[in-house]
Amino acid sequence: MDLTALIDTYRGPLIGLIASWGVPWGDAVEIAQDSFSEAWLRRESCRGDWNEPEVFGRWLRGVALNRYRNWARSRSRRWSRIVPRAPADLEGVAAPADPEPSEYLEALRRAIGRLPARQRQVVLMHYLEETTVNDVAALLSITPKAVEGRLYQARRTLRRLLERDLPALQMGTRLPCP
Amino acid sequence: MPVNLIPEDDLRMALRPHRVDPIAFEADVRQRLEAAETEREDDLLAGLSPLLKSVAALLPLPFITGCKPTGTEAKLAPAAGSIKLLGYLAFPAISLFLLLGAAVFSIVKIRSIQDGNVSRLDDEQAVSEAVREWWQCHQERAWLVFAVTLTLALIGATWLLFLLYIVSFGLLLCVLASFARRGLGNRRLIAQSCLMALVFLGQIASFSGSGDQEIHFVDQLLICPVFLWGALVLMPFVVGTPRRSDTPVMRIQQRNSVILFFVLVVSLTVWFMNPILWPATPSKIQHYVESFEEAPYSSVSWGHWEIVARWTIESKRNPDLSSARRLLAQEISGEQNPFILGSAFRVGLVRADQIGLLKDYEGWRLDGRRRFLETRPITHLNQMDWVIRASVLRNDLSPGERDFLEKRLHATIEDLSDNSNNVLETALRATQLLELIARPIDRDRYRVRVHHWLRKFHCKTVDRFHIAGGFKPYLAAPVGELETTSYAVELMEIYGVPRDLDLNWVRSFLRPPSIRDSGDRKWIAAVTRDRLNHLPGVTQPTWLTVAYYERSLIAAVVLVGLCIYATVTSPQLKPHSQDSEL
Repeated sequence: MDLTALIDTYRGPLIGLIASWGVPWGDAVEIAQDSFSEAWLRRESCRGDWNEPEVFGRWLRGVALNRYRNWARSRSRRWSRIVPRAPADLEGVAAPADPEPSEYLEALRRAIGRLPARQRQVVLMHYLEETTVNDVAALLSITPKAVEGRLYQARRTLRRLLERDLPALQMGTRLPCP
Repeated sequence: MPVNLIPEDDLRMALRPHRVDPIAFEADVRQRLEAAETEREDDLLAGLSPLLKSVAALLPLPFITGCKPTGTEAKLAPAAGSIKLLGYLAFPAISLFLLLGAAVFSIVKIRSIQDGNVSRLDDEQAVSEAVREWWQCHQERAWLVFAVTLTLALIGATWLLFLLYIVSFGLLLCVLASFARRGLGNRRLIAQSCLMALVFLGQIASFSGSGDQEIHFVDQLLICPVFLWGALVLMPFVVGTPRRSDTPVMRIQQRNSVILFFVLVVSLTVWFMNPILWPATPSKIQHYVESFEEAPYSSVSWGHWEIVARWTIESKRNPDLSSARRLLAQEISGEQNPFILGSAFRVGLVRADQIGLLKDYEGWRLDGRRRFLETRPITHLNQMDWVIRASVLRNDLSPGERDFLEKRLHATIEDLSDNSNNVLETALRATQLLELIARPIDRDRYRVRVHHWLRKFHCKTVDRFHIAGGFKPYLAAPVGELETTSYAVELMEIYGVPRDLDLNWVRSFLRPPSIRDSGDRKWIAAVTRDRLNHLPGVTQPTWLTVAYYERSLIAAVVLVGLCIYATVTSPQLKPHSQDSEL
């Protein structure tokens, strides 16, 4: 496998995985890029044939986890010397604007954030970039069936969470008929 | 029952704002890869493990590499906290071995070049600058290392000190070996750094009184020659590589300094290894006994001689005591010190016909006879000892007097429980005198009591510069005494060794001294050690025990070995680079 193919395969799930650890999306992208770079550079150190998607996926996840830990440590140090900025400065580095702003989608995002860790993980990895269940499973070193099971549980949990948060009318217009 | 699930399209829509541009993402990854590749090519430390990188980050690299361009500086940032902490373990070795050598040799070298060729100063100044910068960054920690080194040496924790340096130097060695594989650093730089540090450690070992408060079988001053010989081995690596910048005068100076250092090391080694090079053999001990022609310290000299002489006689070496007899004759014709007479009687120097010459004998005997009628303890048994022995020798004691004397001697031993002075000596004298008057003591009756005294007067904690493990003459004494230790060992010959008394402490106290003890103390220690080793049921310490207690010495040897290994495995100077190195 070449680097482009690897990036295409694992970009979405890796960013989703890192974001599921509680990293802001901007930092998650940075960590993912660093992880791809380091995993590729040191791919010969990988145990097993790194051309195998499962092997490289496991290797990439390990590298990303280390990067995340370094980021978490440096974040705690950064917070100790944080400098207050004007709101105008922060607008430039804010998350990209939602092309279709809606109360429902906002509520859904909030609900995704409240999912149990394992369910949130697969949701972010699978739906961020339409990644296949097999690739998500390879990155997490679990079976595709397990991924499917978690996705199902996640969608059911999300529905429950949204029913609590949104009025019945709004939900009724969005949800498909049984 | 059907279940309502959140539509997948909604989830995709909710996460869509967080999607990234695939092309930009890959471009960023490739940019990072290029930067990393470039950094790896320039970085000397790229191949090092995180631990070794942490160690290398503390090094003044221009000094190690002899001003070879190093590309990037070592960075600590990527290393985890625990790795950094481990990396700091190498700091003592860096401070002591590299910086000490670097600082001293930089100054010497710059001075010599200033005197000669000014144009060669660049590299030397660069090295000196690197050292100076390192000091600026780390001087507090470096001073702390020196302070800890001195403190550990002064409190006698040499084992801990050397262990710290072995671990520290082991880490440093890994970094230096990695540099050597990359062709960085050179043998001369490493050798001079190690040399200075070994001389420094040798000096500390020579004056610190290390190991005095621990069990050791050899004098810990031997650590000093170990370090100095290590330094001597490294000396050829420092001065043996002629450089084009060296003038003939400098070479002569270097040769002279090597000769001077060699003479110094050999002299110190001979001095400190005195007990090993000239051990107290039985023939030498006998010679000491036979050549007792003067007693410069009167009864003290006689007391010392007596301990050694009795051992020689008991060992059936049949020493010629004519010199001692002549000295005794002088004493009899003169002052007739009761302590000297006691020593002479115990060795068997006094003949029965000489007793008539002892002017105080009849007076003491009459006085003693009155006291014999009482059953009180003898208050000054050491002074009365010779009178009793003279009475036995002349057969002046009737059976009744012997019975009364027996009671008084028993009362004397009983009275020792409340006493705190000369308990062990008095107990030994009383026991010996009971044997002499043919009223041998019931050992089982006093065994527990004597063992209690032995434990009570055994001294395992002492002040600075005193050796622990001996027996104290009186309870308030701060340190054990050789004579009392000899009496204690003789008591153990009679009453056995107390179960919880570690004889290795006594062996440690009696170890052959290097310079602190001289004259007859060497012989007393030797004969007492022999008595100790021949106590019933006592076994010699195993090699494992010896190795454990001599761990400081072994650690010093290992440290010297590491220094030599680090030097030998460093790359040789190339001819073209000789001028640019320090």
